[in-house]
Amino acid sequence: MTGQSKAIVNVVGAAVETFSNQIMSLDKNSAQRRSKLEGKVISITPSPFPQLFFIVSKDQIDVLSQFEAQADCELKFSPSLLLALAKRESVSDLLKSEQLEVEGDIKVAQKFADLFLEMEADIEGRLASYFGDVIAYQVLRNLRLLVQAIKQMAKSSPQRLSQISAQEWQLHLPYEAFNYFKRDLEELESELDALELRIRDLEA
Amino acid sequence: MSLDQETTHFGFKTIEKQQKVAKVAEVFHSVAAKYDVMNDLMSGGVHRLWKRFAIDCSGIRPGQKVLDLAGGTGDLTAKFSRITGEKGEVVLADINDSMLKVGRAKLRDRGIAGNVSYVQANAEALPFPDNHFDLITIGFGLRNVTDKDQALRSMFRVLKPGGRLLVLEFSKPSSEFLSKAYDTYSFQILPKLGELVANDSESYQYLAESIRMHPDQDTLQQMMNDAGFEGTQYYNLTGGIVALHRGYKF
Repeated sequence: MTGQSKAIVNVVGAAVETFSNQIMSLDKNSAQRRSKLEGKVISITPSPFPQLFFIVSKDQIDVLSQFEAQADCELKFSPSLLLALAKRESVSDLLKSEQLEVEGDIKVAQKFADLFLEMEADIEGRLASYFGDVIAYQVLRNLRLLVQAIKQMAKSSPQRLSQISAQEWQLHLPYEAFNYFKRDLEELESELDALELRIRDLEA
Repeated sequence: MSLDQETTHFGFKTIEKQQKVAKVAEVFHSVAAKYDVMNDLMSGGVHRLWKRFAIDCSGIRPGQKVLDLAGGTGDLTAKFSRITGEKGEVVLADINDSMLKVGRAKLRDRGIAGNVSYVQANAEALPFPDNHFDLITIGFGLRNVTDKDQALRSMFRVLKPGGRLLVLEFSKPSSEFLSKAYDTYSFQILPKLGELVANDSESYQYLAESIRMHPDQDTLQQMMNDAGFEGTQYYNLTGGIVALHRGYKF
């Protein structure tokens, strides 16, 4: 790997590490789950992207792009399978079809997946630490009401929901229609200029 | 002893060798409290990526012994402590007690303890046994050392056979354009930023000058070879503004 590509992988590793730790910080039970994996190293290769090593400690996950010892567990899969991997029931099928390759201790891989899958994010708690309890409560309450209203509308009257979406879509002006309108406007403008000149000539 | 052997650089000034330690100490006593804030401001946070790159190249493993020399406020130590785990050992060493105190307080606040110890040490005469550490890092510290060759020899002595040294340090930009832009930034903006945030423009003027006086990439690589390191190589980061040198003791 050249110095430049090493630097790029380094930036990717930094982003993955920050994202993982930020996500886990939303759940106060994350530390407890991490302690079950303390000292373990998991290698993940989302082929064709480069390999990353996740080193778990009680405080956080550290992500390295190079690790010179044997990882406890190595996972290889295509990034397109990420959503399927989030469903436990599909993992055995992916293993059988060799779309997911696992080497090493599979229990470590399961516990590592649990770090993210068993997360109960306390978004209200996090918002409260920035904006105070009242604002956090109001924002979350209104968001829940909005989601509930959309779900209810979709359930009770899917026709009405599709009608609203269609109407909203019709309000959107297509690019070609805009061009026609612009051309008409320019023609009208030049005709008006010509008329103005003609009137001036007649008056003179 | 010739005059050259008795004098050294302190930024662009030439001073007597025995004065340098005290003068550098003065700079770091002054900047210790605002060190992290200023690092983020001056580099736009990129110093974190430079340090991550060094850790990626360190080959560090659980259970190993690491010396984080000129470790300052402990950015590298924090990560090494987590990676080496409870069976590992990380020594945060710095010649400056103000920096060491800031580093210790920061790491303890973050709950990093147990496998970390703190030592006030001069890089030229490291107070450790021969062949002791698996890895030695010196991040943004070598340019402040009075006798760099002596420091490299001292690091070579305490490194285990098979161990590696990483030197992360400001260096020479590889393009002319970047070099000019970097000069303008270093000498026009940096001291003003220091004045504004840390109320200390002189220390940041010294920072800019000391970077210019530091050996370039190839010279430092040769110095590492002369100290006994093998397989030495360097990576330019951010167009050579910073370089990471790596060498092994076999």
